Amino acid sequence: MNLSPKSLSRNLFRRAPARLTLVLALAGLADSLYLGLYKFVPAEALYCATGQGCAAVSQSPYSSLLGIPNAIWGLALYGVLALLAGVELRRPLLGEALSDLRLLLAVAGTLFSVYLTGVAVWVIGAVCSWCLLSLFLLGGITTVEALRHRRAPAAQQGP
Amino acid sequence: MTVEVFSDFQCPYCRIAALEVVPRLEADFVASGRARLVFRNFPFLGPESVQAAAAAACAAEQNLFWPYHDALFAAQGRENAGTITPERLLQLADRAGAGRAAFESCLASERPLQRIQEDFARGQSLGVQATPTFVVNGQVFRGLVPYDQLEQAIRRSLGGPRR
Repeated sequence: MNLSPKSLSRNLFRRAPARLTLVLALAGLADSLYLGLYKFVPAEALYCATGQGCAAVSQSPYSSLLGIPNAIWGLALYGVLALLAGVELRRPLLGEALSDLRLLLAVAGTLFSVYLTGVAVWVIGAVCSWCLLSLFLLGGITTVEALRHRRAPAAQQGP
Repeated sequence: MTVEVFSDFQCPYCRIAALEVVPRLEADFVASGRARLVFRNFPFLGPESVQAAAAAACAAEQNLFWPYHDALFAAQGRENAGTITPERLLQLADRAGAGRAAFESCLASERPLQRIQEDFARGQSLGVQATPTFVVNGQVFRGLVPYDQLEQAIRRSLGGPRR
């Protein structure tokens, strides 16, 4: 095993994208969990609050896809992304093989999130701050994964 | 004994409160004179909220507040989507039986805005940050709370039996 400083540094930062994706995905899980509770426990949201709006977004017809609440889709997506990132940290070769799937899921999630934000702004006329947070988190994961994807071929060419 | 309700005419939960809670409060406590129900404007959801609140204040000048209040909530649409227009407010005033000239004159004056500002300031002094908010003898109930909670608080304030 090569333990030169250069090699150590490379090993340390090689998994940085997976760590970052894991952190962002866990934040997304917490966000989706909150949105899920907000949706399923309406008694917590039976008011309009200054700075928060009226829960109009989470109760609109756009708040679900194929009959499943978006928060549940979010939980599933962030859960899978966190799992895939975790796999890469534990089993690098398998994780790297699944990196394309991570990027694909992140891009799909971001596009759907952009669509939902557009609906919130232009159709519903109300923006949900927790949904915006999800958009930023997915955007962050997509950026991390896309950068990793771009750098991967170069890394493989190494010395 | 006074029960205050802080409300915004564009707030969907205020609409439910207006249609389901307020009538029960009126029937159980206001009609018998045991409590007084005071509506406080807390229009924070946008310009149409302020317009509606101003119109309701003008209806109040003609002793038509509650019919106008009911009509506004019945006509509620999406927030700031053009549901509440000057024409619509006048139409609702006509239906409520308000004198058109006096209503228009009131709307053109500063009086309704002063009333709204007073109500809003009162809400802020009580820590109101959401609508609907009910205040029963200083006790603040945020949101569309179950009627039983309000009823118990009112009965406690009146010194009557708890249920």
